[in-house]
Amino acid sequence: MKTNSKELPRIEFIDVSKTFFINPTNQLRSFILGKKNPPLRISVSQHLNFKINKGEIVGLYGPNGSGKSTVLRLAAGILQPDDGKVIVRGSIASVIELGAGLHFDLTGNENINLYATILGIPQEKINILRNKAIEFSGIGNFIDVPMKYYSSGMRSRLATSIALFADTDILLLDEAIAVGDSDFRQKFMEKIKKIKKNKAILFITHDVGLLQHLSDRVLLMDHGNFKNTENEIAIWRIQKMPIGKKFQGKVQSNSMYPFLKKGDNLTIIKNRFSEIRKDDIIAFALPNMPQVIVHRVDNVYKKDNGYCITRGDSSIGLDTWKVTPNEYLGKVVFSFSKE
Amino acid sequence: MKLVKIFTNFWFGASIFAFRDLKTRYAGSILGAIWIILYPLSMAAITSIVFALAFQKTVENVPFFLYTLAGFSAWIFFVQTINSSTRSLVQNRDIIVNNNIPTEFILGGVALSRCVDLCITTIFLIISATFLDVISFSPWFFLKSILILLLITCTLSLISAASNVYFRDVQALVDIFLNIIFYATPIIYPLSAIPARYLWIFNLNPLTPVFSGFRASILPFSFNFSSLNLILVISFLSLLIVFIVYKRLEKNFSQFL
Repeated sequence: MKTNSKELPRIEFIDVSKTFFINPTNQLRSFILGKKNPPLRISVSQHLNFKINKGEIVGLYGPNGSGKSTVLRLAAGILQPDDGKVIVRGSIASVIELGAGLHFDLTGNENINLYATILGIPQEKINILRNKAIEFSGIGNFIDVPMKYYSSGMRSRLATSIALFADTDILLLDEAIAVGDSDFRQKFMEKIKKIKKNKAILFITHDVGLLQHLSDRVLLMDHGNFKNTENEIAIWRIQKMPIGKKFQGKVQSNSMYPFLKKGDNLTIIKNRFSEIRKDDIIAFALPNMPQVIVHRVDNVYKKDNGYCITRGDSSIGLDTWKVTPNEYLGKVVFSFSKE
Repeated sequence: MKLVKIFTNFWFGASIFAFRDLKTRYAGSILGAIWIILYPLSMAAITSIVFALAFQKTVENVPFFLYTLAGFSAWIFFVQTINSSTRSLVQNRDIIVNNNIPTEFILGGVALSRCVDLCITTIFLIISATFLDVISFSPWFFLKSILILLLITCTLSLISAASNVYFRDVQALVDIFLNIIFYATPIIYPLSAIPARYLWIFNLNPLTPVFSGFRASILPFSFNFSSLNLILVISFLSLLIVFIVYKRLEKNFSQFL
C-alpha cells in the first residue's frame, strides 16, 4: 500500500467534467408543476486531465470564473464529477475559503479545535499542530482571547497556519497565500518549500509572482479548460520569430492597470534583451507557465548573463519578477483600447 | 475496530460543534445558561396556571406543575433539536461548501448541545421532585425512554435537515408539523383527560408512550415499560435507514446550498 502511493500520483483527474444548474429551484418547481422549462446549465469544467505527484507544487491560474475553485472542490471531494474520475490518494486538507467556519465568539485556541476539525484533521493530530500553529502565526497572547478582537490579518494568519501544519498528504489552497504582511508571506513561502517534499500541493493565486516563486508547474485555466498546450505552441512560435518582427495580443488581466486595461490590444516588437531600458513595458514567458506576461521594467542588471526585475503597475509588494534573456519575448510598442 | 474509530471520530467532531453551539448560544446575554432552566420552567408555570383552572390540580397525586415540567423538559429538547438541525446545514453553508466535512458532525453537535440542556433540566426536575417528595427515579427506565427520544429526534432531524437543503419551505413546514405534534402528545394535559373513544388516536402517536415513559421514570406514574421495547427497535432501525439515505444525499449538498 505504501509503495503504491509513492509511485502513483496523489491527485489524478481522468476526463473530468462538471456541469452546474444555475436555477435548481426552478428546476424543482417545474418538476412539481410539470413544466418543461429546460434548466439553465453551465459547464464549469470539461474533460480535465492532470496528475499531481508527491513533492510537486502546482499552481492554478486563470481569470475569475474560469473554474479554478471547481477543480479544487472536485479534488477535495466536496463536489462530485458528472463525468470522468477523480482519484485522490492520501489525506487532504483543503483551504478553499480561508477561515470559513472560524467563530468570532470563540478564542483562538477553541477555534484551532474547530477549524482543524473542519479541515478533517483527526483529534490526536490537532494537539500536535496546536503549538506549532500558534508559534508560526505569531498570535502570541491573543490565543486565549475571543476572535472578534483579532485583526483580519491575525485571523487569516491563524487559519493559514492551521492548514500548513495539518499533517496531510495533499494540500489544496485557494488564494490562502495572499494573506498577512510581507513578513508572514515570506515565512509562509519558505514553509511551503520546506514541507513540499512530502506533499502534493495544488494552489490557486492571481499573484503571478507567487506562481513563479512557488510552483513547479502552472495549469492555465480558461472557460473550464486547460489552455496549456495551445499557449505553449503560441509562445514557441513567438520565440522563433526573428528580431524586428511584430506580433499582436490582447490583455487578459488588470495587473498593468491603469496603463493597460483588460481587453486592450497590444503590439509587441521582438528585440534584443540588451536593448531593455528601465520603465520599458516588456513581454516575456516563464518556463513553468505557458502565458505571455507584460510587465514594466523596474531595473536592469548586468550580472550573470544579464537579467531584469519587473513589476505590474497595479500591484504592490511581492509581485516582482526576475526575467532572464531566455524568457524575454519583446517590447510593447503600441496599445489601444477597444472602446 | 473500524466501527469504534468511526464512532470516536464522530464523537470528537460532534463535541467540537456542540461546544461551539453551547458557548455561542447565550453569548452576550445576561442570564446566560440559566435560560436553559428558565425556559421550560416558565412554560410549565404558564401552562399549569392556565390549565390547572380547567383540569385538576394534580395528576395521580403529582402536582400538575411537575407533570408539565417533565413534559416540557423532553419536549423542548425534541423541538429545539429538530428546529436547529433543520436550519443548521443552511446556516453552516460556508463550512459545507468549502470543506469536505462529514455533515453529521454539525447535526451531531446540535443534538449533543441540546442533550446538555436536557441533562440540566432533568437534574432540575429531579431536584424539584425530591423537594416536593414525589420522586420515583428509576435510572434504567429513564435511560431507555431517553434513548428512544434521542433516536426519534435524530431521525426526524436528519430528514428535515437534508430536505431543507433542497427545499427551504421545509423549515416553515417543520414548525407547523411540530405544533401539531405538540397538541397530539400529552404534554400540557394528562391522557386521562382524553375521552376514551379518542384515545386510540393518541396511542398511534409513538411519542405518547415515550413521553409517558420519560415522566414515569422520574415521577410516580404507573407505566408499562415493556411497551417501549418495540418502539426502541423500530426507532433504531429507522435511524439506521435514514442515516444511510442521508449519507447518499450528502454528496449533493454543496451543490444545492
